[in-house]
Amino acid sequence: MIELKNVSFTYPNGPRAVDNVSLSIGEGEFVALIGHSGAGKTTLAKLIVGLLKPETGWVKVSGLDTKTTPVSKIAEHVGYVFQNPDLMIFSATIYDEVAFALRNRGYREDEVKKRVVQALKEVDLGHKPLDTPPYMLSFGEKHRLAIASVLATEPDLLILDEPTTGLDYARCLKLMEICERLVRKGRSVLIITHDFGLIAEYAGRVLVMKKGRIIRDGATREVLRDVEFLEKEGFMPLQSTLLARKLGLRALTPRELASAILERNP
Amino acid sequence: MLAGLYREGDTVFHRLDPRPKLAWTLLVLAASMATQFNGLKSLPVFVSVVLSLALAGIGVKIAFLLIFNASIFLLVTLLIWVGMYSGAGVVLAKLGWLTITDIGLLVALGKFFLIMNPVIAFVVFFASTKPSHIIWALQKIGVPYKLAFSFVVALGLLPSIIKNAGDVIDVQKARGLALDRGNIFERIKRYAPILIPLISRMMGDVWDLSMVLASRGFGYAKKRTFVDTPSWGKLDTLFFFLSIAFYGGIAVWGLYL
Repeated sequence: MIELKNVSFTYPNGPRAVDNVSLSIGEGEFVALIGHSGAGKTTLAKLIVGLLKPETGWVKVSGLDTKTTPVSKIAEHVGYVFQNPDLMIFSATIYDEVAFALRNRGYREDEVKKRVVQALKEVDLGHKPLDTPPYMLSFGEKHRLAIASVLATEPDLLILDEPTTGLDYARCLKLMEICERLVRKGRSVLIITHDFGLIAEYAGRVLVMKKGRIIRDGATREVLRDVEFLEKEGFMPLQSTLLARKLGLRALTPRELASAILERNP
Repeated sequence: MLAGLYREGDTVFHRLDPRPKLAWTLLVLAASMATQFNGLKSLPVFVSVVLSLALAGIGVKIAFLLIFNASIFLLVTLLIWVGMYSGAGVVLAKLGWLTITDIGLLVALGKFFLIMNPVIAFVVFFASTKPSHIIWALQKIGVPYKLAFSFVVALGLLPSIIKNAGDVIDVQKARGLALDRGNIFERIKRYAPILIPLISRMMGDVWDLSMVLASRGFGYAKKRTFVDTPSWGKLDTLFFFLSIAFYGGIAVWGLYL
């Protein structure tokens, strides 16, 4: 569904942000993109959405070449939730905010309403009156509103750029459940995050970026259990993984570690 | 945030005291105003500010950007003012509906320089003067510290506003907003999703900054001290009097000769 071939991108007066990246994301994949600040994660996401055009190589989204297709057309296939919800909120009501992208696509108003109500329910904002001004919402609620406005369009690929910032743990889990539901429906999710705990629980595949390159692409369990690799690249492996190693057990998450300990000492 | 338009460097312009530089900027403005109806008389001012771009080490890219934007602006100015003065002076050429006269051409060039000269001069001034030195210089000429500080902060916000505008445009494009569709009114209307978050973000930034300043005791002490202060030297005196002679002469030429 998403394919990148030898993609490179350099900002004017800046270093090469993305360097010869080739990858593909298929239907129903839940992919986590990790890397230190400045590794090129957000640039890669913007290349997929078509906001940036590759300097070399190509990006194809559902068969559409991002170099020649307008962003508004790509937006029908890819939903992008930015780090800061304040950048996108402009409407007088939460209803209009979520309806914005749907109206851009020319949906009928009854269809718009159905989708808006559903999307707000999915992010736990269903209890809010539809005429609530977005500026009355807390940061976490604004973040969920931003997610709802993208979910309403039912994109083939949902890209979440550090979506857990400002969310409490329960909301993070709720967000991951929403992503999981999308994945079960055959849609794909690409999440940019530093939260290894959530990745371990939900993502099926991990991409590791460093200096604009993908230096590792593998199954979540394989990558996150490779403690030597993570430490060498300056990441902090999960405490549960480290403890499991010390105890001679094979476990990734705290839940798995607890089960493994119980199995050994019933 | 205070860094604003300033570019670190060690050029003649960077070494000058901010006061003669500020005077130079205002003299460029005055000379451009005095010669706005005769482009030929404004030309030496234009040459001098372009030279100052090089002397201030602004950089080839910014200089090209300025020149590129200037050429678009020149085209628009020419069309407007040549059109307005098509009935006055000697006809030089006719391009379809547009009659180019000598007076029209001189006025158009004068109006172009009226905008471009001060713009370039201010770019040179702000790019070669440390924000703290601008505040210091404004204070020296009697501007209250808080006002001078607010002015420099406002300048410093410009690059951040430009970056925020780019981010907001990206966000809304990713939601399917097409800015290049529809007639002119529809296109203007499409800018609402960009302007509203941008203004809201700016207000948020200003609010945050005021909180930061208050929490760090801004305005507590009545007398303000500076880490380093510029000093007026021989070069400054020479630059000051040369500027007065050159731009003053051009202004007199433009107004009376």
